[in-house]
Amino acid sequence: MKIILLLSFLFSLQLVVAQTKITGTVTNQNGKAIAAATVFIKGTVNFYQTDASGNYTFTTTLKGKHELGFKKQGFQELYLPIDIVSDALTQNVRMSAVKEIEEIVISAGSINANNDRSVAILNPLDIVTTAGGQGDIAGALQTLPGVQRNGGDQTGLMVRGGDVNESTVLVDGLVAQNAFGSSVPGVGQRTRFNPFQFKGTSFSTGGYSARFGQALSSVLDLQTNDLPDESNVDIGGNFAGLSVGGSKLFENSAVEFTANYLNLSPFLLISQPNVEFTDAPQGFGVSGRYVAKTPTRGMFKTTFNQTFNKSGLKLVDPSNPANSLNFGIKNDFNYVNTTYKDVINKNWLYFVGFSSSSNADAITWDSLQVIREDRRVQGRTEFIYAPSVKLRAVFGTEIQHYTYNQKFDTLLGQFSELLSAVYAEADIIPVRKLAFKPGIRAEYSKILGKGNISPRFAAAIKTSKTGQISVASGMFYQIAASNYLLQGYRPNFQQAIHLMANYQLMAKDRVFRIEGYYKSYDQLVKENGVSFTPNQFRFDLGQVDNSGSGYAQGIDFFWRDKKSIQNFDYWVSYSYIDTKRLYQNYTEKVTPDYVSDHNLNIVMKYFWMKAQTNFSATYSYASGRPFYNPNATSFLVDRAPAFQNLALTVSYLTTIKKMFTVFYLSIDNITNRKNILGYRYSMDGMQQYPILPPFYFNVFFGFNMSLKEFNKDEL
Amino acid sequence: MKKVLVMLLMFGATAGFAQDQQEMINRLTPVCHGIDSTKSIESWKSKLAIIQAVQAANGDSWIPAYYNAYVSIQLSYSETNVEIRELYVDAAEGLMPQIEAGCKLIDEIHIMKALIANARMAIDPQSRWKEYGKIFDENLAKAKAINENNPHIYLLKAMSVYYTPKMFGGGAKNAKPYFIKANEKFAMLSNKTIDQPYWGEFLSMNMLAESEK
Repeated sequence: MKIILLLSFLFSLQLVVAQTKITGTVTNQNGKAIAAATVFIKGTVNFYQTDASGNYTFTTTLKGKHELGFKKQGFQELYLPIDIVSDALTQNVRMSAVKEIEEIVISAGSINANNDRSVAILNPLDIVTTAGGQGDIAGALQTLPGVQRNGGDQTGLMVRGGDVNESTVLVDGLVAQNAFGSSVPGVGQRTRFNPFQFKGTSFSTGGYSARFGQALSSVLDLQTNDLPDESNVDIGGNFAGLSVGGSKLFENSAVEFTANYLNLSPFLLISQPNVEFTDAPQGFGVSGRYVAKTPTRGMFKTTFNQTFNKSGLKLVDPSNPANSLNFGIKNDFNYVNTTYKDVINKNWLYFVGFSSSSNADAITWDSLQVIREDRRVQGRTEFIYAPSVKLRAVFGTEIQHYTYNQKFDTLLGQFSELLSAVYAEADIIPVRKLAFKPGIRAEYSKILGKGNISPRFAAAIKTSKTGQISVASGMFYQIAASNYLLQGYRPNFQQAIHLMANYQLMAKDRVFRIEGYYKSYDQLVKENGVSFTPNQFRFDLGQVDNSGSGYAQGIDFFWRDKKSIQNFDYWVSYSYIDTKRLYQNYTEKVTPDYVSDHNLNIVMKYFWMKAQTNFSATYSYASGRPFYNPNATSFLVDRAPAFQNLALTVSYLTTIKKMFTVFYLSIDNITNRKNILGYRYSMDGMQQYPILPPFYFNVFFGFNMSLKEFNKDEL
Repeated sequence: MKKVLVMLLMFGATAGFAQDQQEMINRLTPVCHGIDSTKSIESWKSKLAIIQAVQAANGDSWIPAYYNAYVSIQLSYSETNVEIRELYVDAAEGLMPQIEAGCKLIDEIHIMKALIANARMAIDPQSRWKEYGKIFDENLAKAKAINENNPHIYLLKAMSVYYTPKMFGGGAKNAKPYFIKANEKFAMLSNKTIDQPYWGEFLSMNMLAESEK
């Protein structure tokens, strides 16, 4: 028995002796200890962690040559060869921080909402879950800094002092003419696009890329989805209509379709609008899409979109506010967009795109008939040289042809324009924390017989792991609005110069950014020999030249926090603007009547997991806009009361018979605040009447059902 | 005579291999039988140590590699440190070539791939469900096309549904039919040897009880 015990002791002693103790310290490049780094022998599944001083200790029975692995988030993985021969081994290591080349993104003037990028300020889903945004891309963008809060009476985006004509919307880099529904006086229209069509939204509030032109203020570039993840069928219904859509995914391609019927009658019944609709907005739309990828990761996309809409309402007669005018509109819109991109070789890619759109409005103002038609075709070709992450250069050309026809009672107007452009732009990262983006664009307008050259420049420098400073500047040109060209005027390009600087801190789930800017406007279109009238649809334009000018300066602030409270996400945006301009039929250089000096938005979202319910609330404040008072001693000095709005959206998520279903209830202007957006006066200036938003308190309810699993399940 | 000698040598080699294989199975069986009833990290780790020792002694055999991968995946669920979780799944994935080279049960290879995909997804479900959920489903579908009586298909689906939020069609109630189906398939198994992986019966029974609460 003693012998057995002795043998056992000797055997266990041998086991102890056979073990090797491996120790060491893990530090960063500056010699500071890295705590909680994972240490392991490659090929084994025993993992150890360093303590607060960066020390680690473990034992192993392995012998011979192995690799010792070190892992820690934010540092490059490290494997060191070791030879385990004795009973102790010490291995101290220094780990290098992950290089941050890909994280530097020039952010001045640009807000990205993209599924593909980790540095997005907003995700596409944010767009549809923001209360007060009515599920519309433009609605959600109004909660971001630099964008003027629209009281509901304007159609389009107003960015940093620019009016709705100074922003352009692009789909996959091609102009989406008439991206918003046709203008109805006093009733703002939504964009024609479903936010779920897009994987990314790149919204520029200034200093934008040389790839684009013909926008004095901003560019909204929407990037359509690639192949869908799965085949699916979607059915939706709400107070404003019904929709059905679906997609069929093949191995390397997919087809998609949507159809929708719009009828606002149920919504108008319960919402008590401030506008008297004589013909509730109704419409029908269909769209289709084909997407295919090539073996070389190229992508072909083609989309068509066709919509018909009509509505009728009563408007206050400007000459006698006690009376009303009957306004009616019928709209027919179609849009085709085709793009293809592919690689040429390992350093070169190319992109070609073509779009075509046509839009026809038949408008009645009582007995007066107005017919408006426009057509646009655009082609774009780009070659992209991208040999490394340190350099990406784009060389491109685009050509656009568009035609406008208008019949205003018996008055005819028409023009055609052929606009061509070439451009070059490069993203250069010469050293790890520095990025430059120089660009140049040259355009030629056939209708004006003139060209322009606009240089662009942007740069960014990283100041810390999460912080960076960006600057952007450039010259931007835009030809006169169509109402001037239709009357035969051919003023020169209007011009804007943008200068902006931005500081941004972007950590996971938290973003802070502050941006200051200055914009000067020159050569703005100015009407001469006419008195001011606030009617946007006026036809009596004065003699036109380019004597207008202006400026806009301000500061934008944005803070978003998804981290502090679980399932709670909020952002605060605030913009201050000081802007004046002399343009159109203005008689003095003043703050335009669509600008609020102060804009504040507080957006909150909370997901109550147990109840499967998402709550979203948005509070918006916009200081009073100037309005024209013909009896005032100065021009456009009177201010409307401040606009305030509190909106709430509640979404309940569930699954009904394998269909993922969302029921949503949106309440706008919960407090039923009687916002007044300004005032108008009768022709003789004796009678004042308020400009009201189309709705005060209103409720919207709907559902969306999505089926993705078509096969019988594993049962 | 030469032929006879060669045949004898071959027979001897085959018999030797079969003997080694049986010895390995004998060593692994106590560790792997009822492996899904293991609870603590320490127990998982001690089982892993034995499996690794058997694997080291049996070179290219797929069986210890398979159980090594299975236990590594289970350990990835037990860990809280994200890097370590990822490393466990890396280790399991690193064993796949060895498993695929030796294992003739193609349905079980897909099951293991589905297990790996699910473990990857579980590390960061919000950002990974799209990518790894698809791989998970594809592998279960392939396994089913090969052997629709493999209970692991229904057990993995049941577990996936159980831990999916109710609003996306998950939860205990929706998982229950899959657990029932898995249990029916487990009951059909007659050859319970570890070279015909049968892990999961205990887990399936327990989860069915949980889903009925």
